[in-house]
Amino acid sequence: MENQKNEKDTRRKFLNNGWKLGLASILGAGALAHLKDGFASEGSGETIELMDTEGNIIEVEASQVEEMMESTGAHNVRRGMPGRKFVMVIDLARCQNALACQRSCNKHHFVTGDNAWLKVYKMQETEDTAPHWMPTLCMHCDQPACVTVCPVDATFKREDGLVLIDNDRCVGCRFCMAACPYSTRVFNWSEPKQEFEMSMDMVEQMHSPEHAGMPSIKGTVDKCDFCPHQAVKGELPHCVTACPNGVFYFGDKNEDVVTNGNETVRLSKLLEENAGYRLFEDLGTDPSVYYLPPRDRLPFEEGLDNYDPYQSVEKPDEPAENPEAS
Amino acid sequence: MKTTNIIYSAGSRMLWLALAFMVLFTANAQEKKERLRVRAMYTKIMNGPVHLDLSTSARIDRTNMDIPNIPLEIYYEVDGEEFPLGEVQTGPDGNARFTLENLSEIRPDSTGTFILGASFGGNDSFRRASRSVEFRDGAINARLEKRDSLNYIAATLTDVALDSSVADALIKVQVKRMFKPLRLSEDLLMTDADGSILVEIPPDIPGQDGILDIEVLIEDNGTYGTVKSELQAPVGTPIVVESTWDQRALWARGSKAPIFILVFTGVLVIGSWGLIAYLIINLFKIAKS
Amino acid sequence: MKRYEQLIKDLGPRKFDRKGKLWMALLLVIIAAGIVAYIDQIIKGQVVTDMRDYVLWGFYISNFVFFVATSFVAAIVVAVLRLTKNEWRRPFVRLAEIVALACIVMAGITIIIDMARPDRMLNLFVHARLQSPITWDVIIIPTFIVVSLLLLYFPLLPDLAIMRDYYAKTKPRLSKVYGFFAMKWNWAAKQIKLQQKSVHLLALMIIPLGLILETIDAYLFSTTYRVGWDSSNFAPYFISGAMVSGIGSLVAVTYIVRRNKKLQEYITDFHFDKIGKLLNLALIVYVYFNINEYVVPLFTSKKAESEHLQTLLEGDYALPFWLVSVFGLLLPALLTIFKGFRKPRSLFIISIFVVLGSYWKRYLIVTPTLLHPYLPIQGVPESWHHYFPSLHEWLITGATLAMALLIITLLVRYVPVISIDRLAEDEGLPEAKHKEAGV
Repeated sequence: MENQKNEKDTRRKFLNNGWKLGLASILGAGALAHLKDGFASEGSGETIELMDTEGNIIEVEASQVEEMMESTGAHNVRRGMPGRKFVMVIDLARCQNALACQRSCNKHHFVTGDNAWLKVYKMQETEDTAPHWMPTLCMHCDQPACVTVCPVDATFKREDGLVLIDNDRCVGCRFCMAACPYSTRVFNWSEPKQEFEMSMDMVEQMHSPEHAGMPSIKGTVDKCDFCPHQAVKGELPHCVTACPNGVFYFGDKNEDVVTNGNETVRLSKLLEENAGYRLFEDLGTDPSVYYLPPRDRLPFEEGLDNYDPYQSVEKPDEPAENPEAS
Repeated sequence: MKTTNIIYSAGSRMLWLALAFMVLFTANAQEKKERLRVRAMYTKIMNGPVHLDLSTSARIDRTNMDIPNIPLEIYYEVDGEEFPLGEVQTGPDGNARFTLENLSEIRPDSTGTFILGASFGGNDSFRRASRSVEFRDGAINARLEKRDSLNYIAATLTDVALDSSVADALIKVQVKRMFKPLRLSEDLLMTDADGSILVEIPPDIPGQDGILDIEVLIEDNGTYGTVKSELQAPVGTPIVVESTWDQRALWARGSKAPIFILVFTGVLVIGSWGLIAYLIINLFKIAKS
Repeated sequence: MKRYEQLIKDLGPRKFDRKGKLWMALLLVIIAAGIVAYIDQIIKGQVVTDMRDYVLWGFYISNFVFFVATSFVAAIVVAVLRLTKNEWRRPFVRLAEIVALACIVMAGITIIIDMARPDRMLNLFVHARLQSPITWDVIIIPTFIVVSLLLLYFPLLPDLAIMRDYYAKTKPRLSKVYGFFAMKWNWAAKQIKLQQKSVHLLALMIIPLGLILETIDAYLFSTTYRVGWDSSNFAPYFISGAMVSGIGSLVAVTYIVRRNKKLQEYITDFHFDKIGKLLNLALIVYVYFNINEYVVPLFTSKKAESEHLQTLLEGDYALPFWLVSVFGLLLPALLTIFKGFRKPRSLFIISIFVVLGSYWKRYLIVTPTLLHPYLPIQGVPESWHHYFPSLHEWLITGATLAMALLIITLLVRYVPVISIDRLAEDEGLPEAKHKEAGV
């Protein structure tokens, strides 16, 4: 019990780290709140709590905020960004397991469990074939096996290609995890030990399927969300910008362009010239992630220093404050 | 001790005007003020406004940080004399933009060189700082041209004050995309003696309704800053959105379940519960007779 | 007159003796421990289990599959025996009905235990997605609970009335309770006609419903891409496996009830011989399906599938696999061919092996497959590479089994395990009311 209380306190820890930013205008926070409420505020009279200038909590009719959001061009969270079809290309030739992608993903999605959403596999088909590093994340399949088996529409497929999770609806049956052939889904087996640099009210307001892990919820499933919270700002997913080698290309398939931040190229050309392929094509899941084969790749051995078969989420140094509690 | 308050200001009913403040009381800042770095970039949009993009940052505890809420005074300078233009404040990400409707709002010196600047008067945490940019007025004239059924972008760069074309300047021609623009030519494009470039537009670039938003620009040019000309060219392939959103599928939302599933479950539920209802009625009949 | 009294005395409600009380106490203790463990699981989350992101289903699901299978087969046995009007059905039908009801109720509870957010259970109805096999389960399980309840209840009406009349003077309060449930049954011609029609309809209904129930259960696995589950053989494989575990459980329960209630006169060697033959048939069919499932893939399996098979046949799971296959399946199938092994006692022992075998068989269906995903297991703690049920899982699962046994025990305590009404009629006793009614 004592232990649990402590956890909660740390989670609610306010910005006491000095200069780190915890700022967002209400417009921004409100827009995110709306993203969630596109479907959550089915009932009328639902209210959203905001803080006024005196620091008092005031309740505002959700529909009002929503009305305002319509004018700012927010989209339906379940339907997606109109006219888009997000895809990613992963160039295996450039990956050397630097793991910057994974760290960045863990950080921005507050991944604190034992299983990262973005993993870099050490792949070697047989003894005679050469090894290579293979990053995987959610494939955002166009025929997603996970969505098919969800009993409550908690995980859903959007028009813009994303497969997202509504953690407020998930019942925790884990059928989607069993169905996913890419082993990409992770479960919150216990209360997540996340820490935020902003108030929990802010986190609650920013809480949306479009920003997975904000916050994670006990007893529900999490996974890579392709960072739509970045895309609405016109910015690339965290893994893409973090990668030092430009492994990840991201873009809109309808525009036929993907970019890794430095290079912006035609998707069709990139796939054609490098013989792009998709993982487990024969399963018919129709993934949105393409791979470029590891031809002329960066030296494999250099990645071995970073390789830990038993860890994908770095843990903050476990304080030995109450060893008897566990 | 460092404390941070977040204050939300709620505005009128319709519009939630948003402002979030970070008020910083820094004990050590009173002893020693930090150095504020101001960056300024001049951008001119052809047939459009002129922007001065500003950002404020500082190096604190050996890391670079964006500093929000810094008031900056904007001025222009002619022959050592400053003329105030207005004031802007940096936002939460430490960025601010000052916009002029066009360049005729300010004056160059006799050589045709403009100076735009931003200055910060200093506060409890930071020392005063300023930054100015010097530039000449450049103009890009970009046109869509059709030769032998191929589409080209032709563009000429001129110096407005001298009314002469500029040779050997690096020009980018690109199509706007969601994240980063796509360059039309992989080679570097240099203006020729006439200050012109010519680049082909591939025929198969997708665009909304076939319209491509093309940008022709010089970027961070030492003399002319950034000058951008935008034009819409109806030479792309119209984007056809293949949406299965309204189709019935196994992976669609519940309301779009395939018909065979609806029929099967429907028959099953109605059939079995109909019979159950009949059986329960039988029970009551037994109780009555 | 004396014979009729004897029937009621033998088959009617009987107070728990010392052994019975001890048994009840044991069950209640196990259930209490399970409830405590479950509350802890709710507070701390599923982290108290040994399940993790790779082995995301475990003991709970295999337990669920076991309950569903047993319930399905008990119901099927009832239906088939009733519809074929087999002369040896009498001692089994009521017990089978009781087992079917107890197991399907516990199946429903078990699947909720596996859900990490039982507080959001209503979402299963409010946001139901018909494409998901879980939703099919949500539909079929309540349906099956109601139908198996009715299947127990309708044939029970005359017996309840007999109890009501029997206790009218000696125990008026008990008589009232029986009277309430007997629905004013007085062997009127109209009542008997309605009852017989209803029972017949129920027996007809429960066969397709049971098949659907068990098939959906198999679909929970075979609608995924997982190696070892992704098999179109799976539904019939599950059905035939259910036959084995269901008939096995029925034999075991019948034997124990017979011994404790001293019903050797009513449930004879003849009956055991008959049901032993049925068990033998089920086992042989199951052997056949196992050959399909494990032998045929040896020839054509893809790489991942061969690895999966290899772990079962000679790898990490070889020992349980062969124990289950030999002692839970092959030997029982062989032995039950011989009449000598179909005697009550030996059949009982065989059935215990069969039930334990099919219980662990379900564990072998669930776990090794989950440990062989398409991509290698990397980047997770070493402990995630194995699965063995945690203490919480043992306690909670134990409690669900104890609850099933508790339901069976209580029903057996208060309800005639063989229909007195029908026995009296079969034996042509003067008290048999059906004759008076002219049926």
